This record gives sequence, C-alpha cells and structure tokens, in this order.
Amino acid sequence: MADRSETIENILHGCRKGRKKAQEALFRLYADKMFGVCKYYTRDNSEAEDVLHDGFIKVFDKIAKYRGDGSLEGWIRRVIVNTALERFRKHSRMFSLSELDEGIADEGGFTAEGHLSSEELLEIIMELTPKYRLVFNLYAIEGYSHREISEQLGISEGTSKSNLARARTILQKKVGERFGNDMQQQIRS
Amino acid sequence: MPEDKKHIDSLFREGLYHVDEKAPTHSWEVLSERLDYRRKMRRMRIIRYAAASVAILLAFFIGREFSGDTTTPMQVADNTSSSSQHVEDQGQLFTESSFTEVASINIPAAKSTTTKPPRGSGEHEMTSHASASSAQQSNTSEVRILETIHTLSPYKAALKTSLDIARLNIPKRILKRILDDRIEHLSTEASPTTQLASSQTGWSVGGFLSPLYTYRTTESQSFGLFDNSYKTNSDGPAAFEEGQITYAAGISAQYTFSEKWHLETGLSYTRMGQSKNALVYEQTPDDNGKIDLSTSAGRINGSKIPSELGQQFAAANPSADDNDRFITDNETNTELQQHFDYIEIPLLMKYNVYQEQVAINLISGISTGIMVNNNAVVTIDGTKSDLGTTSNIRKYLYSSVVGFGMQYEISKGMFLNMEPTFKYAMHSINPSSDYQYKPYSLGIYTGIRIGF
Repeated sequence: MADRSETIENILHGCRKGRKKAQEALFRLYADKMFGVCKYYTRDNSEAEDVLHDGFIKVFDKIAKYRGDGSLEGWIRRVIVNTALERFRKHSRMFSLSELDEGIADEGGFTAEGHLSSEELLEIIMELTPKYRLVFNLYAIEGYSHREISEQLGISEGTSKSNLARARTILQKKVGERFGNDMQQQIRS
Repeated sequence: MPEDKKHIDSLFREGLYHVDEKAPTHSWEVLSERLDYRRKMRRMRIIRYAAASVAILLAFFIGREFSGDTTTPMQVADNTSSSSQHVEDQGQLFTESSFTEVASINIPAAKSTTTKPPRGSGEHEMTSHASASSAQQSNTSEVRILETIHTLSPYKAALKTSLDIARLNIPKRILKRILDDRIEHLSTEASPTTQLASSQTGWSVGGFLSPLYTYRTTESQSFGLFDNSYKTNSDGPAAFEEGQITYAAGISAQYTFSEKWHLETGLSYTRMGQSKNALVYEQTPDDNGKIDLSTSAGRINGSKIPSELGQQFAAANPSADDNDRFITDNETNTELQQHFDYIEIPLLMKYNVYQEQVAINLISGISTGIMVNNNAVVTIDGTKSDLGTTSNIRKYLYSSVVGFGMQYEISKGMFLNMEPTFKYAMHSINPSSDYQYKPYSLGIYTGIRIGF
C-alpha cells in the first residue's frame, strides 16, 4: 500500500514537471474509471472519449493545484465531471426540444433476476434525455445539491428539482418495463 | 412506501459510481498527440515572446550605444556579464519500469464491464477483431490524406506519429481532429521544431542578457594632502557622481548535483562604471591645455580636454597651483562616463526553494573579473570626447554575488530564466589609500537554458 502511494506521489511529481511518462502513467491508472464517468454524461462512446481527453488535459494543466487534501481519484473525477458539464453548456443548444422532453424507446429483452448489473443500469440511464440524465447524475451519483446543479447547468433550483423528479419516475418505469413489476416494487422514488 | 425498498438514487449510485469502462485502446496515443501539439504551440509562443524581448533589449542597448557619437571615436564595448542559469530537477524519481508497473495497477473498484456501443450508433467496436478490421479499412482515406500531406510537407518527421496513429483504428472524427491540428501547425510554423534535449540530468548551457545598474561605495582613511572633509565636499573628487545604466551578456554552463543543488559557471562581458555631471580639475592645464581630472575611482590623465574648458579654467584661476580645484560651472552641460569592462568568470551555487512549473532558487557565489577595457568619455554640450583611461586600476576584480532566480520550463529541457542579481566587489578597484572604491551592480539576468 505504501509502495503504491509512494509511486502515485512520484507520478504526481512527474506530472507537475510536465513529464510525458508520468502523464501516461496517470492516464492509464484512471482512464477506465473516468471513461465510465464520461459515459453516463455523454451520448456515445465518441463523445465520452472527447470528454475524457479534454478532462485529462485539464487535469495535467491543473495538477499543481492538487495538494493531496482529498483523494486523487475524487479530484480527477470532479475535473472530468466539470469538463462534461462545460461541454454540455457549450452544446446545449444543439439538443432539440424533442430530445429534451421526449421519452425513450423501449429496448425490452431483459428479465428481472433481482439484480441489475452496472452495464444494465448504464443502458437505462443512457435512455434519459440529456438534461434529465445530467440532473440525475449530478444529484444522485455525484452528490451535488440542487443549488450547485442550478449554477452548473444555468437552470433554476425548481427546474433542477422537477427534472430530478421526472428522471426518477422515468427510471423507475424503465426498470419496471425491463425487469418486471417485482423489480419495480423493490425500489422507491 | 416500505422503508426497506431501495431508493432509485441508491440503486444507480451504487451500481454506477465505481463502474469501470474500458477506455478505447488508442486513447492515450490520441491524447498524447494533443498534448504534444499544445506543448509545441506553447513553446513557440514563449520563444516568440522571449525572442521579441531580447530583440527589444538589444535594439535598446545598440541604439543607446551608437546614438549621438558625433566627434571623437570612443571605445564602445560590448558588454556581457556573469549570470546564472537555472535550476532543473535532476531527480529521476521514477524509472521506466516503475511507470510500467504503475500503469498495470488494477484499481480495486467495481467490476469492469465491456463497453457496448449504443445500438444503431454506428460506433466502432474497438475490442472486436472483426470490427477493428473494418475500422482499419475506414481509416484508409485518412491515411492517404496524411500521407499526401507528408509528401508535400518538409516536416515529414512531425507527421510520422500521425501516420502511426492513423493505422490504429482511430475513429474518423478523432483522426480528423489530429489532421486539423497538423494542418494548422504546418500552416503557422515557419521552420521545423528542433527536438530539445532533456534537462533532467547533468549539464545544461544557456545564454543571457541583462541591463545593469552599476555604481560604487566609497570609504577612505586618509587623503594625503587633503583632510577628511575633502571626501564629501561638494568640490571633492566624488562630487557630482552617480550610477550608470550599462548591460551584460554571456553564456553559462550549469551542472545539477541533485534536485536542490546546482553549480554554475560561464563567461560574460560586464560593463561597470559611473557617471559624473561635472569635471573636477586637480591641476593647472599645461601649455597644450592638457589636464588631469579627479574622480573617486582615480585620476583620469586626460589629454583631450576641449581647449575652451582649459581657457575657462585659466580665466577663473589665473594664479592656480597644483592644489587648486576647479569644477565646470553649472551652465555647462557636462557628463563624464567612466567604463570598466570585465570578462567575468562566475562560480555560483544555486539552491531550489520552490519547484513547480515555475521554480525559484537562491543564488550565491563569487565572480572573478579580468579587466579588458578602461576608458573615460566626456560629453560637453553634446560633443563626445575620449579622455583616455582612469589610472591605477587593478587588473582583477573579485566580487561576491547574491540573488534569486525564477525558472519557467518552456518545454522539456528548455527553460526561460530570470535572475535578479546583486554583485558587490570584495576589494577596492584601485590600490589607492584615498578612496576605497568598490563597484557594485544590480541586474536582471534573462535568458534561455537548454539541458542535455
């Protein structure tokens, strides 16, 4: 354990000096984990990879500001999420009205076994419209408050709350549709 | 709702917070390409700024040196000075193998899942052999485009990486971005970029330039024929003297012992000196109007004093003897400049106190100066005359040096340095017991250093 933290310290030191090998080591260490984060903030793999790259460029630029106060993974995750949000703000006009308000196609084909894999959860959450997905992700997964969400997305707190409620309802419904009523009854919104 | 029901938020948080998704295999290569491009652009920008700054400084000093030289040729010396180069982090804290080891660390988080592209998205499936082959074909056109540019461009080497990446099944849009970056780079860059050597270990060399404020301190214990008040009298040899703006330039070599300690030496040309806004005559002009001038640095055995000044002296002091002094009147616009030019060889220790993108270090050491030029120039009402040399000046000058340096890493192994440095002579410039004349200088040594 000590060896690992010592090695991470070395990597951080190298990144602060702008050394390529250290940057590669840091990227390889967290790429898979952060790509998972990028996936549920974006629409497809390609966009997720863009966010991953943009996010890590920011990580390397700002690495000198990381003083080890919190976990490195948490700090990188925060940078990545903020990068995804920036991208959303930049491209939010590109989403059509129907994309923002419409429901999602029924994929079907799953049976409820009392357990949902992360892959299945990801598929469900990807079916949400971008705004619902962002609000739900930020609130439920990242632990943002409605105030923080409203500041990050440029919406009111009320809109954040109503989007969250709507997202929960849709997700609950989707879980039910995919895995049957038994599963739906095991969860509450 | 029963309390034991699982909240929808928890369901997704627990399921997704720690989820790993295998990042595309080529991901680092693409990111690396973007980082290289950003570095190159940043380096080019800083080099342009540095070159512009150096050009401005050079233009300033050259213009200053050559302007207004209307009559007698005077000795113009190029100046240079000792300086310092910068701190570099030599500490190779980790090795290739340690990186490889770290890169292979398995994060003990949630289980990894195989990324499935969204249905109907048309995304390339990187882990599939069959689809990789398809992606290979789909990239053929991009490879051709890159190869075409490759043949047209003089910067073939710079594109090699792009070609390599193009063969890695990279999605078209990402490849397009690399291509766009390359085209932009080729259209803006004037010449191929030299691959800079690493400065992680051992030696580094550089050049520097600095404006200098140079003056002196004086002290004395006896004045021969004169009493002690003579030193500070308004008509004493030190009267009307003031500092001078000069310059220094040179090259330096630095050896890094550890992450903290560095030793630097080099070769520089430094101009020391002072100005005087009046002339203090110490004796009657001879029949040819020649006269000696007194300064706190020593006497200038002048031979080219304008005859009108000699006449002025004679008119004011018809019965002057060797103990009389005469000062040019206030209405005469007179400036005497004494220059002492040295080739300097510094020996400096540097200690890093802060090491980030910008490093800060403390500098201390000594410098040996070998005098290569000693001259005095007087400008009277815009007319410049060479007066000769200040007599009795020592050939060698030993100075102590203190300062601090700031170092910015422009790119790997290449540093921009800025070092405010104070240099103070450890002994008098002349052996005279009248004045202990110790010159000092304050400069901001700025330059580039390259490690190898």
